[in-house]
Amino acid sequence: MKSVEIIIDGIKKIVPKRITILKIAQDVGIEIPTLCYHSAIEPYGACRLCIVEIERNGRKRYVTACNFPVEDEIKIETNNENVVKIRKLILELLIAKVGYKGKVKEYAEKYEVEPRFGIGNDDCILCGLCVNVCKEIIGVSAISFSQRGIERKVSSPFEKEPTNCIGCGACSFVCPVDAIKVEDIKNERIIKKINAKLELEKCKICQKPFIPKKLIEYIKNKLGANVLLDIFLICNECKGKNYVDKLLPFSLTGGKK
Amino acid sequence: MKKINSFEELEKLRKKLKGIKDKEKIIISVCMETGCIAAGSEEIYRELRKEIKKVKNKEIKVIKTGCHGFSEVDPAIVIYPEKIFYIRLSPNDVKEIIEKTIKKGEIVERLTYKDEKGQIIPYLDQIPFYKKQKRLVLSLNGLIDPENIEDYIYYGGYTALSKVLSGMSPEEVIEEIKKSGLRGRGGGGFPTGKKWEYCRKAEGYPKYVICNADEGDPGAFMDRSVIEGNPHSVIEGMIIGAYAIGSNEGYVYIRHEYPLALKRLKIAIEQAREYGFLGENILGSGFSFDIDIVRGGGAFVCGESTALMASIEGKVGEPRAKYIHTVEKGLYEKPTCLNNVETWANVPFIINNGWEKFAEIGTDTSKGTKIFSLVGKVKNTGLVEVPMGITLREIIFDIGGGIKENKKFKGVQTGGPSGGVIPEKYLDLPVDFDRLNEVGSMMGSGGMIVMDEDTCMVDVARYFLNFLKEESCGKCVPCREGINQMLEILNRITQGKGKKEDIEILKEISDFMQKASLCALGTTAPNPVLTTITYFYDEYINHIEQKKCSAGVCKDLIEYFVNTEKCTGCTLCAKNCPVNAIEGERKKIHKINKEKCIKCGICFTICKFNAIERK
Repeated sequence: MKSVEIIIDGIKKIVPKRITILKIAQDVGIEIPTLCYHSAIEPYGACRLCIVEIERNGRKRYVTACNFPVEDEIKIETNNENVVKIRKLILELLIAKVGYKGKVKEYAEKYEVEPRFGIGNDDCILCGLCVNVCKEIIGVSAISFSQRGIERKVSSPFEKEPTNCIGCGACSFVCPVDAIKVEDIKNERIIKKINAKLELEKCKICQKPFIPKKLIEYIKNKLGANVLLDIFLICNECKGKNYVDKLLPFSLTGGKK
Repeated sequence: MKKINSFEELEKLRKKLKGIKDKEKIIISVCMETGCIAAGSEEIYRELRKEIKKVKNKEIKVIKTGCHGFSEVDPAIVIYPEKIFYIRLSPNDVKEIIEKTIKKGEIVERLTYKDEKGQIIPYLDQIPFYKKQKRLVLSLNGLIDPENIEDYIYYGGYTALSKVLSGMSPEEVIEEIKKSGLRGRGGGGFPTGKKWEYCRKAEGYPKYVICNADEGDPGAFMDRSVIEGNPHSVIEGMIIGAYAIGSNEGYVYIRHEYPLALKRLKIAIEQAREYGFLGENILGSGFSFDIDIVRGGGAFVCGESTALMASIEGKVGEPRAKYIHTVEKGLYEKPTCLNNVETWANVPFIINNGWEKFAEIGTDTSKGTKIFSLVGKVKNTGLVEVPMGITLREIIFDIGGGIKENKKFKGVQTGGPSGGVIPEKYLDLPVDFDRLNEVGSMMGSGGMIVMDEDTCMVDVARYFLNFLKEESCGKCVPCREGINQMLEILNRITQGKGKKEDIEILKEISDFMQKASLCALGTTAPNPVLTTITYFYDEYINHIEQKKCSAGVCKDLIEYFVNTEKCTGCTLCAKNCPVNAIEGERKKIHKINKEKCIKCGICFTICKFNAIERK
């Protein structure tokens, strides 16, 4: 038996075994809120917002939709009263930590959450997306969690400049509450949250510093050749302006005119 | 020592050891476990060795052993074969012991245990503390030198392994453990045989076995004592388990704070290798298995199986979802069988004596014995091993001798910080996995903290929650933020700032954490709060509405003052007050300056005339 019949919010469906509830919901068109989930990254199960109620042999329990693999015939309730109660409390606790920011604000409005435990002012909800994207997708693990419990935070090793960081900005891109800001100031890229400071290379066309030198090295290593490399040395603005007449032949020749 | 290559060679060695050891007529065993050493047993041991040398009798032997369990009376020695028990010794007592007991066979009465009525009880087995115990796992603690494998072999060590490797199939071993009814001693109580079976059937290789020795509950020292007293029982259990599930690699994950246990475990593993119980082709059976030690870094959460495995892998020690069980995908994503120290140590007994012998002890659902560290406000603190099904009353009042200073019993916390406080009305509850769960607590790994009338239950809940706040890994929102909010509420209540709705909010967050937390640390964290609310509700109300702490613990809710009729003006309180808050001249009534007073209670304790009162 490679597939199994389940019921999700009253809808019967035959699904492959070990598929996650979140994927089933997406297929059926049911929206389940998530904060620490990203389709490109292994589910982490930390925010617990995607919690749903499942019933197996008459016994109910609560599981996170993002990483619960369906094994047998279960009934799933993604949005009943019990589930909503849990989600609301998660959001209340997060508001007590960071206030109304990004996706927390969005969901707080959707679930009509009142700030029962106060409105906090931290920047980060500790969802782990930045840490996990850096580890799994970029593969450099420049940042991680340090401390534990309520003291837990995202940080570079020993809160010094992270030697592995290539300044790609993926951490900033995936952050659901915009806690990681990437700023290019003169010839430096600064990511204050993780103590990163990276020297920038200039655009081949307009001479404006725009890409971290370490990122170029990283791309070189990934590609394993110099082909197409020059396209990475031209800033986005120039790419737009010059694509057809200049850049295309430029790239195809691998930079040699 | 030459490696033992067959079952016959092992028996030959045992016979040889019998020849040597049977000549030892008198054995003086000195407990050398962490707690006993702290009480001064090392000095006693040295003195005994020195004095025994002078006696020049090869039939007398002094050995250092694991703990006899009765921590309250440390340092203590046991003289075999009669099991004469001398307690609270100082090095100066040694000469008298040698002169009277060793040379003439007389009892030194002043060094023996005396019961409530002052009756002298010279023999260990007759002491109430030991009478109701049933020692399976701890049977050799206090009898063997944990740093000498030959002691263990002499007393039948590694016969279970020999039996398994010479004539039982892995399935038969699993069947034996299943029938015995052994359940995980780490707290979960999962049937051990079933776990082994799932792991054996799981696809993937290599498979791993792990011994969880990351004992972190405050006041708990069961696993430490087993390893410090009889490390080979754990190793033997692990080898048998590995054979049963088909594993060739094992780990012991031991907490950083246990240096002596680590040292003894290392010695034991080295000796087991040297004698051929670990390594390639064990006892010529063709089965190979070895054990590595990994030291924890001091995080409580690493006692949780998935966090522990992450830690062994060199990753951050935080739990992950267990929707796919670790028997299927555990360490390095391979099938892994993790059991607690005490669980492993039970295995040789079951194999040696058969499942029936084990299953005849205990209740319907919980078989065998359980070790508890009995601590707190109880007269006889120490390590006790009791049959499952014994009542809490028997443990606390018969074995433990009742409450210190004859105060009133108030509650007993079982299961460590994730357990609950059980009130007086459940004292006759039989101790087993399920019955403890029914009243909102749990077996846990075996911590048992007894509390008297001077304990504030709101403060107890606050204490355990504070511990968990420090130890939560912080990965999931319910545990990290939930504990934090609950603790803030409890702090408020103990400061007299509690609100009526606080109790409902505590219950709501508790329910939420039980449902939504990622691992067992979070799902069980509310237990101390919920049980104290259920059983000591009035105390919460007292704190919130009357702003009073009847136990006199919460500093913000108490006041010390001088009873002017009783005060004699002796100045003792004034002299001892650390902040000079007590004013008054000699032979005149003293007064406490409330502005300065830090409510430390020293005056209250020190006054000889009970003239300091607490309100």
